[in-house]
Amino acid sequence: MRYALGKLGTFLVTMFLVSALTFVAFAVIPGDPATAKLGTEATPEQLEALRQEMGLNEPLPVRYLKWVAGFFSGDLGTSYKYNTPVGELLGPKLRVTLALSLMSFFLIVVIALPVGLFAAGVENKTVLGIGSAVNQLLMAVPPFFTGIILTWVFSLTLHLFIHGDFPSMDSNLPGALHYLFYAAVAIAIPRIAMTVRMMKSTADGEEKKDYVRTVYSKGAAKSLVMAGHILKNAVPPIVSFLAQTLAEIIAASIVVEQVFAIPGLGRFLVSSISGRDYPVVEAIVVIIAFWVVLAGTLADLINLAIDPRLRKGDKR
Amino acid sequence: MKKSASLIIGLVLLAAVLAAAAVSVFYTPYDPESFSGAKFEAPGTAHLFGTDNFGRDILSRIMKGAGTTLFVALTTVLIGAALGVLVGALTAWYGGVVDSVLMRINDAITAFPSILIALVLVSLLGAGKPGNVILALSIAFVPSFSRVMRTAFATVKNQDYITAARLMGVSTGRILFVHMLPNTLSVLLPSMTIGFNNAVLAEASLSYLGIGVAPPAASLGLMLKDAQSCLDLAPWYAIFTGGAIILTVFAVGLIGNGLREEEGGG
Repeated sequence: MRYALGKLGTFLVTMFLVSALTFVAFAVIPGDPATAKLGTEATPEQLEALRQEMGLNEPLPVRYLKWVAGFFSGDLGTSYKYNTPVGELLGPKLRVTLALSLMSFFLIVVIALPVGLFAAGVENKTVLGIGSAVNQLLMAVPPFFTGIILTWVFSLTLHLFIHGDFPSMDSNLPGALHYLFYAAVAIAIPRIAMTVRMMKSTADGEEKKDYVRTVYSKGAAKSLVMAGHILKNAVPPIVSFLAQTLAEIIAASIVVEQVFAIPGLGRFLVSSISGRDYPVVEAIVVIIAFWVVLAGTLADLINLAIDPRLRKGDKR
Repeated sequence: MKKSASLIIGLVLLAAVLAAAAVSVFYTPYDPESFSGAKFEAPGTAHLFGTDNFGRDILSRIMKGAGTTLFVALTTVLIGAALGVLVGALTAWYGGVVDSVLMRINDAITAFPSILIALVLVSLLGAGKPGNVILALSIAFVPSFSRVMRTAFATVKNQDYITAARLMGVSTGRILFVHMLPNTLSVLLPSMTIGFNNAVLAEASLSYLGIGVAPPAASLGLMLKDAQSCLDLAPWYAIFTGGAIILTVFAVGLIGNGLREEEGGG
């Protein structure tokens, strides 16, 4: 329990730092938001009035606290470009990116775990060599390139989906998920390869340990040792690795959404960056970082629940 | 000592890519920035990889573009690793409050995916300049290097020969960078290969998004963006350009594997 509280504390501290870093970066670097909003032709009086209205004349810590308080009450600021609350703009896009990320994560787990387990049991040197070469090659395939190739094959050639025509998630959910599927595959491929390699090396590491030798010497079959002993001990590192994967998926989705013209968070981020719509950029940056920190904390808590060694404060 | 096969294959492939990029500085089959044939010529004897939407030779552009991408990636990794070594060495050596505070901030920064940091920084610094891309990516890569290097330095710190050097009155700077650094190379080099690959992918992604290297300069990411708009007419454009990225990342990945194998298995 103390360990769990500690993790929660770390989570809060990290989130504080993450939000403060973002806030300071955007407060210091981009110049004057009032000028950004009104353009360079505004009169000094107009600028001053807007600064007053936006609260820009208040000290930095006060502005930070107001901004954070806004996050908790759902007020993420107002977009310079659309002049609408950022929260309203982000809602639908967040849903699309979440669907894409979870689909990709699902693909990775469903494919990589069985393949990784299988790979962990392989001993034939030739098979291992070929497998590891193929794996290394797949790890090198950038998702945005796969995305382009998938578009060429499945949209331009086979006409299975229309590139650039993303179906609404409300009226045509199956259509939207079908569209997202190709993007999810593009993101998943290199990460499946990484997960397989990670599982293989974890299992190999476990297999060298004394307890495994003891089980073997008692006459246990290889498959039993694999399933009953090695797998059990390999779970915590795999959980942590998958949490990191979740973070990498969201990073990859920024580019892949652009490839497939998917109206998600990543695509909106890129267009907001080009349009210097800083309140939107700031909110998306914090949401993504929150997602990453949350995934890491959840992984720690899951490991705590399944691995009793962690509960005794036994740092391994 | 038996050399790892993947290390050798990786080095050979990387040497080929580097040679093509290096040669592009003074020789390319055609001028990469002006047309040298019809639009969308299929790969053939005149244009080995075909031509693009302006009739420019794709092979020449890939050589030039690989040069840009590799240069950005290499400088990024060198700067990121140097700063990471510095932070890692100092935090591991001095420990205490400085260490805890720096590592907390470090952890917080790793919550931002490096492509995100780079995207935001490049847009704030000004898009389109390779210098800004390098600066943004280097900053984005420092935390991961600091983290691994801190662990590596902390491990070496407790060895007897370091205590001995300290007792002999060797200066801290000399201990850190002359005595300890060489003994952390087994950690540093593989993480540099990973960092290099991430940098190649990040540079390509940024340019693809239109925020990295600006036209008319060739960059592999920028070329992929062009290639996507004429996929139905010239699919080979995307395939060869993507192939160049994959080959590079594959080669460096093999080298990283090889380095780890040599470390682990002897």
